[in-house]
Amino acid sequence: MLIKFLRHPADSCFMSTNKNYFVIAALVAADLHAAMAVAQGISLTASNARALALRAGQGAAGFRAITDSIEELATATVSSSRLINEHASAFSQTSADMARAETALARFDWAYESAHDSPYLSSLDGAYRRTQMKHRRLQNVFKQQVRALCSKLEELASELRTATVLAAMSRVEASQAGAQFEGPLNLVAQNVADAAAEIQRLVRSSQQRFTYLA
Amino acid sequence: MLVKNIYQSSTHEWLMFGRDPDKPEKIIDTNQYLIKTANKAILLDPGGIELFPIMLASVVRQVPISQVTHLFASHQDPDIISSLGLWDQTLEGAQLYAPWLWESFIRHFGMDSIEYVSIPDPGLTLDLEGVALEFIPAHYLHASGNYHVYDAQAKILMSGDVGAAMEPVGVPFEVSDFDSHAKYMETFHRRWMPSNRAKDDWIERVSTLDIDMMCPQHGRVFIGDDVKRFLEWFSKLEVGTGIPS
Repeated sequence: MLIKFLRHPADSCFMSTNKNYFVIAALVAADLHAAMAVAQGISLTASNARALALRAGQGAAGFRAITDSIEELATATVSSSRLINEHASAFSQTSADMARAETALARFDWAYESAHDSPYLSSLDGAYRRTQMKHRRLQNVFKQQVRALCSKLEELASELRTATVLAAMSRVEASQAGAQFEGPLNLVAQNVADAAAEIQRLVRSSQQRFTYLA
Repeated sequence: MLVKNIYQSSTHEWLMFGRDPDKPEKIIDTNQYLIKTANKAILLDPGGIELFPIMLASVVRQVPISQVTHLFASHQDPDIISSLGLWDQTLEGAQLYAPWLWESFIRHFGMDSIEYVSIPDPGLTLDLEGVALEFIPAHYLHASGNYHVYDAQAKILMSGDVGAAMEPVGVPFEVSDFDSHAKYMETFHRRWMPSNRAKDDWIERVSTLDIDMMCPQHGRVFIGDDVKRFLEWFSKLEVGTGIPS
């Protein structure tokens, strides 16, 4: 039968597990956009920490050294999350294009069945093949984008592990900065820890969503 | 979906598609038209996305899909052209003739391969293998950028939403008793058509045309003297009634 001849068995294996993959893609993009905003918050915290450490003087010398690491972490996190966000947007667009191609194929299938006795039915074959090829190409791009995004998320998660260490070190140094600055410096440490935790939560959420696509 | 050949000559044919029995209940019934010459064809107001598969199946019963070289959209409404994204994946190298005013809106339906040919305000004429199809202005009837299609050789006017009727499903293709049909048109025209000035301007223009058949996008086709009856009825109708006076 014509439809079986035209349909490629691989077409259904990847996407059939979750029909809402384009919604998942959009949710991942939204999570990662939120993560980027939080990362920008770390950058601001790092600037505040530097100013505070300078005001605290010699008593906060140890903390001042840590602010360099916080700034490095902020720069790396903002850069990674921006890159990941770009990947996520492209991935979301691919998934929407793929959904459109799938919709077209489903409608073509309907037309093939409905017009099975039409003398011109085979004139649809070209459009069907083109759409099928486009769909396969998009599937491949989609898979590559998922892999790349997973890898980038893993890198970001790894970078953020240092935030926990930095927050702990900050608390130790804050305790030696004197009574006037201990509280504000502890707050900086807490902000770094909270931001890192929030980004990690969003990254984990994205990774979790990807498991639905597998 | 039913198909009716409404005109046939040595140069071209007009086919009308509609009265789809499988149409979802809450979707308005629409008429689609196909004009085919020896090697080309144009689909007029190809319809909504829900209608696409049945339209595609109906079209390939009539012509090879490669013969559909042109599409026409009278305006931007979803029942007119929301299937565009799917036709875009079906037709290679086709052109869509549609109002210049709506290009950036219609492209939201998805259009990568089809070429958008903007119809300017005064309209234009498409030569389809020697058959002159005039896209004549019908602005504000009901969309602010709106065109109808006139075929002087066949003496057919495809009149978009003008002449539309809200009737129960499954009614015949042609108007048989104008007076009893008018009640199905009245509410639609009073509410959907916003401007008496636009209406009068259109009637004046259309009255100069030689028309045997007036084919709306909803409802029934007007034949012979019923065309004149419609113009008289429409000229007396107060439109733009959405705001209480």
